[in-house]
Amino acid sequence: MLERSEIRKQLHQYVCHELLQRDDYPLRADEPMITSGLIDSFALARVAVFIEEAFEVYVPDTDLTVEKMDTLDLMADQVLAHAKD
Amino acid sequence: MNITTLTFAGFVLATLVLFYLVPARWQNPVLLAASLFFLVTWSWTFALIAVILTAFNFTMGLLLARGGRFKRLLLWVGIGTNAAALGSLKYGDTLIQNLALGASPDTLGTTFLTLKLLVPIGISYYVLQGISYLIDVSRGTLEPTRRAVDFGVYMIYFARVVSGPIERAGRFLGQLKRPRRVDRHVVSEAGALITVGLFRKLVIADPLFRILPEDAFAHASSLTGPEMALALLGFVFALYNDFAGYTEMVRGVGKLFGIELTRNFAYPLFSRNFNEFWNRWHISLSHWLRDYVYYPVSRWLLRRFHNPRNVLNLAVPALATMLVSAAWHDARLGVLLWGGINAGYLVVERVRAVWWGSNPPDKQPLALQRAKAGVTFGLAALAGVPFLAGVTHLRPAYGSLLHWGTLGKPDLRILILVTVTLGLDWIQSRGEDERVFLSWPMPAKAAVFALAILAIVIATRADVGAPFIYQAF
Repeated sequence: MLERSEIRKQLHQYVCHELLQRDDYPLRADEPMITSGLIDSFALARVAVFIEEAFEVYVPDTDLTVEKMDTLDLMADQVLAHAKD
Repeated sequence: MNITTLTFAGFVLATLVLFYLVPARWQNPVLLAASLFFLVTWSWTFALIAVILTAFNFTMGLLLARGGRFKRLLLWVGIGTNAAALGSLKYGDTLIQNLALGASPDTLGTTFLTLKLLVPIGISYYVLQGISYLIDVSRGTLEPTRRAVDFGVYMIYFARVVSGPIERAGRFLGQLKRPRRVDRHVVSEAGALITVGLFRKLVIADPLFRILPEDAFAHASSLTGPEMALALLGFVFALYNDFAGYTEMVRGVGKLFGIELTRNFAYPLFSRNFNEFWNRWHISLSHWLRDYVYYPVSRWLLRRFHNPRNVLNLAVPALATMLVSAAWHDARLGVLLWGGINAGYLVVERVRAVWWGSNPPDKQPLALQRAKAGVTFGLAALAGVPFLAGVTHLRPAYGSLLHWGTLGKPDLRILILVTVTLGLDWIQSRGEDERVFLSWPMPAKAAVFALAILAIVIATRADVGAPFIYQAF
């Protein structure tokens, strides 16, 4: 059973370390990442593959949108939603 | 039936009357009948092709939903049939016409406008909708519709069939199931969108096309640097206003029938990098390409070559996406080169992001943001040269851009229309809404719409309105 807090923690580490390359960045769970330009929408392909490998959950390409993946909270929602598939 | 004509306005009015007179369950059939009639006004053949492809995709959707071991094969048959229909009808026609009339297939000018209109109207747009529908159903992210009428409206709805926006089935079909609520507020929004769209098309785009040097790119060597630079600037602004104007108009018409069409432009001239640019220019196509080309290719490669700095991960997704985009626009070499150059821009940005992390434009000084917007626009315009000139005239076109020794006779009227566009975009972007004028105080609102309508009337008296450039794609 995937825990929301654990999902968010791992996503936080991945985004800060791999995408922002700033481990000390104080990324909030509700902070917009794509609409603020912190990461670009193309980077969502990397997030999706990370989610596949870390949680064994497949998020469809059509769900890799700003509306559904803009914050860590939204990303965690997608992981939990598709974990049930 | 060109949508800037009074005939189209009469057609919309008649359809609206019928639409709101019939019971709710007959509203979608009315829309489908009106859409078929609209296609027939172009050509019976166009309507027949649209009906065949609509019936094919509807049936394939139902078959795919059944699953079974042939599901993958069925999906590829579906994608292949749509792609083959588009390829043969679009490029076959171009080839035959060019051979028959002896025109060069490699130049964009008057020949481009007159010949390509023989391509079945809207096929480039509804074929992409058919493909995305089949992929979504096959992935299980979309329930196939069993309502043939609704699916027909999704594919060939008259307000968007000419040049999009390219709609997603889930969003569009959901709207058709719900009761339509059109109140005074929605009607005023529709009116604002239609007015702004007509203004862009008739007051900016059409006059720009008329004053641009004839066949500028085919006779580039006879132009000085300033003349060529102004022609390029004028063509990009004309193209933008033509297409953005069309989209605003059809979104306004859609609202009158209680249907929200996807937004296609969000002030692309102010983009500070190419990733941002493609999220602001022809958004429905960019997002279609992102979802059905970029993401699948990128994810497939990342699973095999985990390192994001691997050259394949950096280059192939962007290149594949932009080449598909180019091929969708046209099969000319110049257009493919345009796709390749734009892919190059995106790869440079990917390299930067993967090596050095993010650099949010919003957090940079305003002067730097504006400088980046200028550079992005300049590079986008330069990449457009092979698209407009074709490979045959590429060297003289780029060459003349470098000759600034002689001023020549640049038409400064182009700069006036460029300034009007920038002003309009600036006002819209400041309000983060194309309909920002509606929030102004009544006297200002009345004055701006009166002036816009006056300008449209004057422009219409000068010319009845040329066809939209993007309906040729």
